[in-house]
Amino acid sequence: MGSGSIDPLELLKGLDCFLGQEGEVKAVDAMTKIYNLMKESKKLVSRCIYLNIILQTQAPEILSKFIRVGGYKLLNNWLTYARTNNNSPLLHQILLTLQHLPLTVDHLKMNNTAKLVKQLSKTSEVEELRMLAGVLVGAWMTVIRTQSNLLPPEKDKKKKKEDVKVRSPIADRSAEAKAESRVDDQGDKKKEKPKMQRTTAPSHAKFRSTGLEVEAPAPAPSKKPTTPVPVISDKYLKPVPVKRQGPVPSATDAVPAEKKYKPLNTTPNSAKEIKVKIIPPQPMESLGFLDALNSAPIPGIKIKKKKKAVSPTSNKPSPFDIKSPGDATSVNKPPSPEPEPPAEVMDVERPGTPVPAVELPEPMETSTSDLALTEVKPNEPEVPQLTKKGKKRKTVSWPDESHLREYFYFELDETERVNVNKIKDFGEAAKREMLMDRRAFQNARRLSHDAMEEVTPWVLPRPLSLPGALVQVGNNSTEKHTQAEREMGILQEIFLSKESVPDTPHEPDPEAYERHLQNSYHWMRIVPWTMGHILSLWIRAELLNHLT
Amino acid sequence: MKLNDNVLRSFRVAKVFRENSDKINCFDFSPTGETVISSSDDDSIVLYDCQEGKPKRTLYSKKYGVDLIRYTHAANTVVYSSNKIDDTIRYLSLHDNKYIRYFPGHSKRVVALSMSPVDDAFISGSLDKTIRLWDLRSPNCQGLMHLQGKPVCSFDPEGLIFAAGVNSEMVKLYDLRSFDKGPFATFKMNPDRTCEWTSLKFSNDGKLILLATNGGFLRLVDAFKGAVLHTFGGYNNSKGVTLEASFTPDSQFIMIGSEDGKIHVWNGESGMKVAVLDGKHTDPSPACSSTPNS
Repeated sequence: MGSGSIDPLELLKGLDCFLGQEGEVKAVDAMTKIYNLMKESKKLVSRCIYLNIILQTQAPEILSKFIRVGGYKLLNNWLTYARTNNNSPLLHQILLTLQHLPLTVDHLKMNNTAKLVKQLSKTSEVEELRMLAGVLVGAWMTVIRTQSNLLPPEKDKKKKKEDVKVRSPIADRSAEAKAESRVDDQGDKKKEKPKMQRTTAPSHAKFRSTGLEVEAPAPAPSKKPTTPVPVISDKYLKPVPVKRQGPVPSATDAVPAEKKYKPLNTTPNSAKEIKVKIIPPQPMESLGFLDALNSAPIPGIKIKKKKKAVSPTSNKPSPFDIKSPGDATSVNKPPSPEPEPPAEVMDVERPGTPVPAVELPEPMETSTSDLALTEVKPNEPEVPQLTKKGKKRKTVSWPDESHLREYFYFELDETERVNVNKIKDFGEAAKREMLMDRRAFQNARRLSHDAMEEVTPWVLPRPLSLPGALVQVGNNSTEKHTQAEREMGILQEIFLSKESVPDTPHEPDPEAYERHLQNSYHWMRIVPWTMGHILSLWIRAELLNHLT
Repeated sequence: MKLNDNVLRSFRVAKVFRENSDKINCFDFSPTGETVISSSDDDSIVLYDCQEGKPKRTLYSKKYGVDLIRYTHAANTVVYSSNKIDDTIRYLSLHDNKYIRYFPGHSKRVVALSMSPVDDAFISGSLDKTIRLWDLRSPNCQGLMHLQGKPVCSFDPEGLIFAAGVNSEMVKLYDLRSFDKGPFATFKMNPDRTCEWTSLKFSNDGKLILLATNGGFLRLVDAFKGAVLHTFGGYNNSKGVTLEASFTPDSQFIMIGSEDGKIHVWNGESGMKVAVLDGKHTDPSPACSSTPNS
């Protein structure tokens, strides 16, 4: 089909057997074939024809079939393609087709179609496209609102079954995404995808999609190759409560799943259904529409949980404390012989899984079709929380960002002791030294048992009988007369207390300058020290005498 | 009263004065023996009345410090060396607490200061290795002698000659009237490298010279012949403190304080230790002197 120029008429003729009079798809089966043809079509003309055929089709079940078989994803591819090529007519056609399809919240969350349309409504250069996209977004918003309130979206059972199959892995992943930051999560998701695809999917796959494999194992693998999107689209998906009213899952399927949840059960008798509790992640990006899209399903889940859950449960590990181990053990007994292995496998496979959000207090006998909805994965991390005996395991967790830092405030204690022995400066050190001396002085005095009290009255010392003095002391002093005269004319300074004594005496009167000079040159004589010295001085003196 | 060995042994502390907060570095009796002037490391100058046994007056020289205080012949005046700021010698009137004159010249600490017994001259020795001759009436140095070491110097009791101890090994005698002609006598001693001379004093009769050291001994020298008459030891001076020794007024006995506060007394003629007086000092007594005539 894709090679060479295509005549639309030729193509329509070829498709004639599938189409009705109006050009619509005749039957549900035909839809599948047309979808396969669509997948193959590369040309713009053929694509437009297919889109028109879809548009002509009014029967909801046929359109649903189209969506189910992968038409929605195909449209997403085309949309992406048209957008990158800026092909406005094609975009227009695709938007119309999208508008025509009976999309549900699940679909919208499946890939980034919603996001692309939203972008188109904002940024498209073509006015018409913008409007069309805007209308589409509005319509979808209403769909989201209504569907999040009405818990189980109305779908026919068949469709649901298939949807679940397709979706379950994605939903699981999105559940994880809630618990973790989305970016981090992607790695996990990628890791997981392959597991899912394996038909030999180990315990956790079985466990997760309870009953799904039995019903429709085939479609899932077939879709994988054609849908590169899921990884990306995961982001936009929220775990939607997908109800499955199908037959009660087989024992083999249910058993492992239940086993794991048994420890989590609170009350065996009251729990009739699997409780799923998913913690909504904190929205990381605030794109109004997308936020609404992402957060929409959550209330639904909560409501569901409330309805079903007899005992209040929370995703945190703490609730486990409440549960009595006895219950868990009692519940444990009925299940099949292989209770532990799955749990262990899970642990190994998903060591880093974030905080779990799901509790499934569901005894096997009472399990209903709701089991199908279970977002089992989130539960897994909880399993290791309890030991076989139901005792609580120790956990390590990070505190909140706000509790990472702790501040302590201490008030100054006035009575706190200070190191008084610390010497601050030299002056202080000197002072201390002096005080220590004085103390030592007093100690020594005390030790000598001498109070230093006056015991003998002062008596005038008796004069000594001395041989006559050689000279009369100060006989030739003129200064004594000078000073005596001076004192006659100057009042004595009398200090009544020691404190009034100035620190230093008054400075002397200035000396006469002439006398100063005279003395320095003529009066000063050099005292000879050695004979040579004397000689030289003598010679100098003689010379001076001659000169003068 | 005449001094003899027994009288000296009977000496007791008559009075304790506690006027200073720091070491008393020097004191001097007035010519009449009626007062004592003291200088202290706490920068205070205290005048004591020996008649009444009481402190009479206190002055401060906090700016320049005070050491080696000496009476002049004028009543109420003193000269002293400074141990702060500079090494100027200062002439102070106690009467009105005013300096009369400064004697600048030394460039290092003054370690010897001696007043002439008869006139207004005085000599000073300094660590700047000079001895200077001064007159109270002039701020200018009257004579200058350069030496090769730390000097000690003193006038004789008649004021005619002065003696200079040089390098702790020689004593030179100068005639004051013709000192520029050189020493008229030089006494050479056996040098003792373990200690330095710290003071030189004449006895009142002019016949003896006492050389004190910062070691553990004293030397008594014949002032005319230069012969070492006695070497006195047996007292404590382990820390090399500058201890001051002196004669009794009758020139018969020699006294020195010691590290343990005791006063050791020797008979100058016999060279025998006469007494060890309990000075009641708890610190070394670097200053020790006796009244001139009472």
